[in-house]
Amino acid sequence: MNKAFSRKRDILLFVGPAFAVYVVFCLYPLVDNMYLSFFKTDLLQQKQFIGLKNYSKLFIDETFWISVKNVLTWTVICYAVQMVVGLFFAYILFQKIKGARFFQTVFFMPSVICGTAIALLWTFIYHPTFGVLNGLLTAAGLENLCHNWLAEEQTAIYAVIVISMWQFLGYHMVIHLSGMKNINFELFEAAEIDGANKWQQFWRIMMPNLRNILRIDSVLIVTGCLKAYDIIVVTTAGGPSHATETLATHMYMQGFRGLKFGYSSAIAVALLILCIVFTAFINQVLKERHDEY
Amino acid sequence: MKKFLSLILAAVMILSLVTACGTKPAEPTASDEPTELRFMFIGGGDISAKEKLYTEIVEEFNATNTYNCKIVIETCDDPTYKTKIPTLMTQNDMADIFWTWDRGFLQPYVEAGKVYCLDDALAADEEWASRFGGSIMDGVTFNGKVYGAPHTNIVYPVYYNKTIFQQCGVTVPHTWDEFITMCDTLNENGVIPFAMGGQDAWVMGQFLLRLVCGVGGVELYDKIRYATGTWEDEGFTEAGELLQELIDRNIFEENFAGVGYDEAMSMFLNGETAMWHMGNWVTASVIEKLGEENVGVFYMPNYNPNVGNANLSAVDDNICIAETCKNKEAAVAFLKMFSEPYWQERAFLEVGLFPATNVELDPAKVDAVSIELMSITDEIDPIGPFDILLGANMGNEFNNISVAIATGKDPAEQFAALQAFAEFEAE
Repeated sequence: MNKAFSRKRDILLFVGPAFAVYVVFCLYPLVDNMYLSFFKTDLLQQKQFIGLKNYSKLFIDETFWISVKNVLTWTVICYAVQMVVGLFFAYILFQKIKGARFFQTVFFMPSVICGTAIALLWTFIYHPTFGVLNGLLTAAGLENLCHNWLAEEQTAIYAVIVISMWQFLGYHMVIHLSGMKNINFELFEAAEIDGANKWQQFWRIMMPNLRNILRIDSVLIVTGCLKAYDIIVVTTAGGPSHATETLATHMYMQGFRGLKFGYSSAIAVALLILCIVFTAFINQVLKERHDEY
Repeated sequence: MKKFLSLILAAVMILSLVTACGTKPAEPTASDEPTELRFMFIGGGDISAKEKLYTEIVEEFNATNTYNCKIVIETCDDPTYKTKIPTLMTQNDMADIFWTWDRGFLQPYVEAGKVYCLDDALAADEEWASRFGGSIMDGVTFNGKVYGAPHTNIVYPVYYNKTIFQQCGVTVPHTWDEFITMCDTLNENGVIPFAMGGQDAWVMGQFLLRLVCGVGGVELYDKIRYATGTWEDEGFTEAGELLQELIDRNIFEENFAGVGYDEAMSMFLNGETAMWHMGNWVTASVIEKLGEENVGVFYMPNYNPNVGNANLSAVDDNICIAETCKNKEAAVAFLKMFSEPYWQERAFLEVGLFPATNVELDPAKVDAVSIELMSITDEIDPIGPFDILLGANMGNEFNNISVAIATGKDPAEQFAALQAFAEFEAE
């Protein structure tokens, strides 16, 4: 096999088609989008070069800054919860408790259902009159905590963040679990013989060995949150009064509804920059390390 | 052997890629094969009666036309349609014939030369041109040229449940004071006056626009239409305060901001509320559910008794031909069918929409609700929703601030913010 891959022509044959697809469907649109962001265009008529005007406009666009604030809030909350709770659940399932496989499937299930269906489901849960959430609060005598969850500016963004957290918690849990299962079990046995308790085993053996998996998963969580779109469109459409607007929804509205494709491209570039900055930051903090025992 | 296998695998990958990308199936070459023309419009939901009518027009055209053309229907829901039009237009792949809103929505496509000008066709057929009277063509006329054929008019009355009115002892109001008294009486009887789907911002925007016109009349609306005034005009603020006053009087259901259009519609149709302020595209659905003997209509009285007719109305259905249409002659012939008296009458009788032409209607065939609506509707001077007049961005922002005001934000601040947004958009 090594011999087969040592020939450059063979490698090219394998990688070539995938690379061509990548260039056509990812790289080219990306570069073209950047190019478009320097123009004033509705894509219907001759475009007009305006330099960095679209970018300077971002600074005075109130909705853009609301969107930035919302995606950052979304990212911080989702990252904290999905990382901590995901690790916690993964660790419990790693202990080979009874029904672990069943729970693993149940937790993972929401992530394979399409976002639209999930969002619709939660719209009913949040419904102010017949929703389950307000129903439970009322049954528990907590009527004062009942809200019009998706229609109040103060609660709407957190309500949609919860949907996203719920949908992908199981997905990240499975990634953590697979990382845990890849750790050499002899390390835990040796530590146990040496008298290390479960807590010490978790922090001293498991976490360092999960470092690379956590790095990849962190990038997945953060970029997924920054790009949030489908749940918003189904539940709130960015409202009330832009309270749940994200960069993706703002970009869509400016482009496909407002026919400002140049400005919309500038928003897309801002989103790309945010993704790159966060990914670089995560890679820096969780640098790849090869610990030897 | 390994090398051979790797070569085979790579070849299969490339082949599968090529076939997956695919090519269009070969076009039929026979000369008698009819040319297919795509006709695109919004379908389903509460406008299924209109979809059925359009389908019948298409079937009739396909069976009788002499152009060797076949119209193929493409429909989708409203939000998808709003994305589909710009996508197809920018890709030069627009359907040959398409339904559209007029004014601000259609304008960019006309300016980009994507829509076929109907001037020559109208000049060549005076009888067709004479079917459209008054200002009906204004919304599809740009730089003095006509780009679409209006099909129907929409008005925005208040639908009311006669049984509930009777049970509560209230009658149709003619003045603002009577309107307020009526709402209070309904509340005292434990009936929610209006169904409001405030989660869909356009519904609240539509309601606030009616109040705006009731406060400042067409003159206030025209300040925005003709850009002679600003959103900071005190008439807008007054209308916002009026909306808040009405909400304080509980004219909408509790949690109205979390209720969508469809749900509000169900509330009215199920007799949970006494009234619903909505465009008359819902007439067929309302009659079907409540029965025509149980439904009445009236126009919400103006807050300011000194303003004249300021009821909302719009030419909502316009049929246009794309500049890329494969057979424009056939497409024009198809367009003419929509304004034929037979189809105009059916649009009114079966869908409940006012005809766009000067067609004579047989009162014996018209349902009671539409007769009542006709009798209270003066000449239509289009005062349409802002998202059609001003385009999506400005219109949506007006709708957004309508919801913000309805949920308690200061109207003056909101309209000042809207003015700032308008200036940002204008840059």
